[in-house]
Amino acid sequence: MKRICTYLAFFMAFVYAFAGTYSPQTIPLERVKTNYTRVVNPDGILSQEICDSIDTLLMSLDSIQAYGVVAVCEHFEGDDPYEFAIGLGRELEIGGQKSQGFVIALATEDRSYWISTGEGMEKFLTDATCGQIERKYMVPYLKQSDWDNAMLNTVKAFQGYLTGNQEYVAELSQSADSAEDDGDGLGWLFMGGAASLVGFGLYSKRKERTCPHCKKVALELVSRERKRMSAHKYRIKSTYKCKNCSEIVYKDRVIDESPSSGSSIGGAIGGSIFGGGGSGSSGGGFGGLGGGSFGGGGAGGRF
Amino acid sequence: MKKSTIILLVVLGGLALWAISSYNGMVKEDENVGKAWGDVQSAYQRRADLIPNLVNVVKGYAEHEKGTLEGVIEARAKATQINLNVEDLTEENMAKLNAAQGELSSALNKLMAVAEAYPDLKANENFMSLQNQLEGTENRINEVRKAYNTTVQSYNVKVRKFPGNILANIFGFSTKPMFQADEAAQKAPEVKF
Repeated sequence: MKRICTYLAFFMAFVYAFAGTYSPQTIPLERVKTNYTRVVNPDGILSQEICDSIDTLLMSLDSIQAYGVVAVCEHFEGDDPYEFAIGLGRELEIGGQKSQGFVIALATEDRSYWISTGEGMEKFLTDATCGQIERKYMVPYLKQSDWDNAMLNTVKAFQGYLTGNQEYVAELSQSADSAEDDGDGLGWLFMGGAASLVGFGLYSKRKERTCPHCKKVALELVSRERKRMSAHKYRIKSTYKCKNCSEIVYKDRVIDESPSSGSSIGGAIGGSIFGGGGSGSSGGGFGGLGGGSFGGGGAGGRF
Repeated sequence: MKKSTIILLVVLGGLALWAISSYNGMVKEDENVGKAWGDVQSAYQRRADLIPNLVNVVKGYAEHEKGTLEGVIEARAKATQINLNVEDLTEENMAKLNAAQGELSSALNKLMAVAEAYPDLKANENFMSLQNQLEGTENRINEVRKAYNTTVQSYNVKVRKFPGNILANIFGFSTKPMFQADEAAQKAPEVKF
């Protein structure tokens, strides 16, 4: 009996030591893979209300083919936030050249965080911009252990910046421009690219929200479902309701991320505007060797 | 036609198909190595491009650190002098490149350590942004080096495996060097109290 108790105590100690410790392979991702949510919160650190708000914000980025995931747990395996974030991006295969993927990872007990950008997203979100978002919208809250607001404000900043919200674009482009301008006009290229992204974001948002019946920009998203059809193809089914004429509108879109496809708007824009010319935009890439193309872009640290 | 002639023709045809397929496979692997090496070069170039900005920002706050700043500029100059094409990849050239890039990494680490002593510099938005970019670039260098090693390993296996090695010798496909872990990094640090 004594021996059993000892073994049980060891087992409990082992379980306790590894509770809340995750690697990209062990963290539960089923709900993210089936597009039920974009938040991985296995330890329940974030409140359900905040998870819902983050989901809404991240899913609204689908219209510009940006795919973001937030992962929050107590510990990362090996206490390495960079390896975790990049590994999660590869595991979820969200870093292709034509879908701009990013991962925001936080380990509350390790007190570490990392934002990893996929190959496609690096064109729009430089390491410097990721660092700025962290310093302005994430770290101040993390230092107060306010995980909910840290994650919500960070995602708001990402969503705002990527969809061309003037508040965020002005705030983040200003410093990024001065830091990255090497005097050869690359800063202007960055500004031009950001302005075009803003224009594209506004245009796509307006187009997506226009009711085909009353022609008013009054469509409201009711639900969105994403289903993977093959390794490179997935279908997004969205249901909207018009606030003006109460018409229900269904939109069905197939996204093809295969290298031969030229249908992706985000990829085409990334290629034509930035094309690797802007400072801080070209990355190594992991094309063909792993699940997603995450080449080391992003920023992170400890608090 | 004699039965033996038919058998001979079938065997020769099979050999020809195998040779074409193996040759094409090696060409493909060789091209992959070239692409992976190009990624390595551009990651190194990206780091070199960041340095003038970084030095300028640090210079504004830490003029007394002239020696450290000059060390970085010198190391950058040395590193950018070595430009290897994929055809020039030999163990010796790779060692030279590693030494030069290693020296640059050490100089940059020293510069970052120095910056810790200047609170105004650490709080400067431009410096923090450059620090993020430098860190991101170091990560990219690490990733592309890993990707290069994986690609070269696959190429080397193809070139060395029998009977592919016979064709590789005939067509001049030789093994390529890989990145080795830094010797300094393999030694456990000595801690003295």
